[in-house]
Amino acid sequence: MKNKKIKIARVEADVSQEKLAAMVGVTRQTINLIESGNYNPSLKLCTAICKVLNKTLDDLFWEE
Amino acid sequence: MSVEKLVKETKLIIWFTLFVSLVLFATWVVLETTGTFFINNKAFLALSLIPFSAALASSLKLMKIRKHPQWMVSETDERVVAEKNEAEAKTLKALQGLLFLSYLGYTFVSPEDIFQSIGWWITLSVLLFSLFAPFLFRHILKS
Repeated sequence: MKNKKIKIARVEADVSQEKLAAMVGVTRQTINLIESGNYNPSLKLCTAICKVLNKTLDDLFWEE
Repeated sequence: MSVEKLVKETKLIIWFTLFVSLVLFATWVVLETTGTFFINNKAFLALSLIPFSAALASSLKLMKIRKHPQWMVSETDERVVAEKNEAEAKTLKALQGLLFLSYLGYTFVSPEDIFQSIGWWITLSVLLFSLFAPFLFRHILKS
């Protein structure tokens, strides 16, 4: 399932996939795969993404 | 894997492979100068080239990391690392299968070699090592 929350948060923060990838220390492909729901990131990576986008884990990764 | 850890690991590989290469090369030099014939002495010279090539490849990798630090990301990305680990695990499984077939084939083709020839013992030892080494390394990593 696609993770639209990350994409929306990223666009809101005006950060490109490439920039976000560089900030959290992964490749752009990994960010793309997370957003498209094809990769399940580790908790460490999830928290790193949350910190960069100034969001909580609930905001970006909790599914109702 | 962190950047520091990868650089440290690469440096360790370089020093270890260089040491092995140097030992093999020195053995060849000593055997040649003393005129001692231990199997074919040239084998030591040829074998010393393998770790030397590995050291060269690792130092090239280190140079690349220093020149283009952004290249490091692809080496430390958890997804890429997980993919590499999975590929290595599958390779181990395939090798275990091959070793098992070799052992089975050897045992059936040359039953007179069982418990007798060094080849049979080596095949059995390598097969057992490939089966038990993962448990051993897991235990070491845990502790």
